Amino acid sequence: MCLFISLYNLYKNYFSSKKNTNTNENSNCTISRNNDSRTNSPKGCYFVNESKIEEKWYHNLKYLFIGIAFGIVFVKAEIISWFRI
Amino acid sequence: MIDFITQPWSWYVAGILVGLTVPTLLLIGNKSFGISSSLRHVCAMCVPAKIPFFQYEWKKEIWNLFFVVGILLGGVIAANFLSNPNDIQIAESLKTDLAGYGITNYSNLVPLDIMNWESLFTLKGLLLMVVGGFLVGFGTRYAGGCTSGHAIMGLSTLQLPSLIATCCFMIGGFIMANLILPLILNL
Repeated sequence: MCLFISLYNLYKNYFSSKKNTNTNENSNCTISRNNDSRTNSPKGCYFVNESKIEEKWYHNLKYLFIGIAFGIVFVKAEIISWFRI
Repeated sequence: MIDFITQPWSWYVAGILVGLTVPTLLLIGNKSFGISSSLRHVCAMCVPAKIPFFQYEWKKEIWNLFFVVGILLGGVIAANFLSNPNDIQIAESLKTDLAGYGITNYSNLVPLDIMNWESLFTLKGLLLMVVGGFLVGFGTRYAGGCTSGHAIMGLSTLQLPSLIATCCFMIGGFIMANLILPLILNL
């Protein structure tokens, strides 16, 4: 639980600091590889400052739920069992 | 219904569910399935030194930590609320073999006869738990992925290094279980 809370705080700080850099460096358009299918920019490059920053920390909760499902499967199918592995 | 859930799940159910994790992660967030890389992200967060291996934008990989924490929670849920009340089913011949090493407790996913706090401080327990854990962690980073990463994500994206790694996991497993583990259990 502590880990969870610290992760949350870390994430909150990350976005508040990101927002600041965003306003300060709007003219600074760094081109990098586009690994994100959700951006509309042409494949191969996108502007760092306009992507992903909209995401809130709770968007990561969907990965938490997939992880929970995955963990249940690992235990229930005895994949992690000493006797099976 | 609850009986149906608490019984051990078949390989053909679990295999499909595990396999479907890869496209699910790709679809909802364009993420590559991986578990062991979380260790690197945690190290990159916590190690202040300028080690080149840890100099990358780990903040983008935070989703991976959520995923791994989720796996832990899933394990806790399955063990506490959905656990199988019966003993683990294994072949009778293996049961006879294991009884020779003093393993007779089948109530848990790990044999409580050798995996407990008292045996942690014996040579056998130290080899099985501490040295074994270290080797898994070391090999995982050295090979650029754990068994899950290579066998689930690597194979599904048709990567040759992952196929070689998966074959070697199996070879290593056969050698360990048949040749080396009997020696350790006899200590």
